[in-house]
Amino acid sequence: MIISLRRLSYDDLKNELKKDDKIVVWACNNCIKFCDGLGGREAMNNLADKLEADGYTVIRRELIGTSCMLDLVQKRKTDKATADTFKESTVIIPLTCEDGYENVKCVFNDKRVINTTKTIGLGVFSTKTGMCINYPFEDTGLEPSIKGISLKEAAEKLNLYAGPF
Amino acid sequence: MVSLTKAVPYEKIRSQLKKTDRIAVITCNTCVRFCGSGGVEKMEELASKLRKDGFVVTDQVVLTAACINDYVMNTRFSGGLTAAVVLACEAGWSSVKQRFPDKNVVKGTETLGLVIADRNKGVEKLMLAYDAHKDKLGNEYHLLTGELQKERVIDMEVGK
Amino acid sequence: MTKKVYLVPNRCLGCEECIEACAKEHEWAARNYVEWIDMVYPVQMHCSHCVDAPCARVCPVDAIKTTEEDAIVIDEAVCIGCGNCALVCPFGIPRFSGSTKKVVKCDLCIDRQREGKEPACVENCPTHALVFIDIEEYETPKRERAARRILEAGTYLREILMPQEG
Repeated sequence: MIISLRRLSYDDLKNELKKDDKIVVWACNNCIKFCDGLGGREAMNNLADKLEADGYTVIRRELIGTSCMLDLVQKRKTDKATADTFKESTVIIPLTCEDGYENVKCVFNDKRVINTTKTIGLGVFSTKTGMCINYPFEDTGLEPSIKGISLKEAAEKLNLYAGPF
Repeated sequence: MVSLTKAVPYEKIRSQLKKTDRIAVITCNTCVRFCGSGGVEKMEELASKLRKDGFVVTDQVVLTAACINDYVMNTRFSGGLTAAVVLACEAGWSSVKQRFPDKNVVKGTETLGLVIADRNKGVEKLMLAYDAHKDKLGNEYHLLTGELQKERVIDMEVGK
Repeated sequence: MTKKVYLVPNRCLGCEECIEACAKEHEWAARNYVEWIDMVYPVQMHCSHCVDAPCARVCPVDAIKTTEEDAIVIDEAVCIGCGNCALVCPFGIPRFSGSTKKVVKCDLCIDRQREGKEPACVENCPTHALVFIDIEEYETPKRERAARRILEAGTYLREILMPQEG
């Protein structure tokens, strides 16, 4: 599983938005869902609800199975069911790993795409211990290990956030 | 998709096993399948090769995703297992090692980094790499075989 | 043999791209499901388009028919929304539409098929966990692999463990 942590607090995120923005909340439903619920359907709906409660306009909640698949991202731009909505949008908030973010940024290159996460390596999920990071990228300074460390611990060490907005 | 892995050469896998071992060949069926370094067929191929070379392969296991530890923990293996060869990324290998901390768990692949994939173009592109493979950033590999492509067809900047 | 959608279970990650694709194809009302067992085992569920479909048998107004593609399809104009089909389906597939209050279920994307495309769920599944093939295509490679294993096991027994056996 790709391990990602959140770069921004909810307030940081709001600072990137304008009140007249037409927002798409975009969430991957694979690895990031297991990253302490940072992505996935529930996180997408919760963030969209929060933004709407704070007076922002969310025009679409887009769930994608795997945002790292470029062809699936491209389909959202051209599919008759979604093309118009994406055309209308001004900003996309992806709850995805950095690979997923790059795909969204590349396909929707005329929109503001907010980079919400930092991808730090690969890890193992279990229902007993949740998600752990086992094989981090070397530049994180974290040590690889068989047991891994929790995302909360990793976030503290890296000055990032674990879990959803 | 997700992670990019390369198969460890057969001779290197073989050199880490003993003829007296009782071996499980375990494959993940997600990322490694798309890289040509794992999946059902590669697992069968490896198990067959090992048997022909006189090794005792008692188990051949396919896990949807080796990095979901519950799948590893809930799998029934034959008794008396002494070794496992894992066709999965580093995370998948860690997951299997958690199940068999005292056994010889051999890595069947090497993890290069993380990719995006384009099924229409039939390629995956290395976007984030571990240090040993930073020189391969931006490289594109054929989906399902993992063969390095001479020409890059996905027009995208790459990060670290 | 005709083609149907089959799930290759050890490829499904439960990403639900199939549900999103189905929803987009059917006016935002998906007709398939992903059930999670023990929190980590996803099972994608879709209409099996049974040859002897219980849903078609119990429909009191004959709204459920077989198309030339062997898809079991509900004619929404004829359906009265009684729900008998939902009661008898062994897989729990038919569901009530929120807008029309009638029953909807997978139609094997026959419109897409007639354009030479695969069902939306199959085309969009990122791991090829959903395949659109006839059952013999699905079984043949499995059979060949199993035959190879039987042969190897026999060879192994013959040459290594019990060379004296005939």
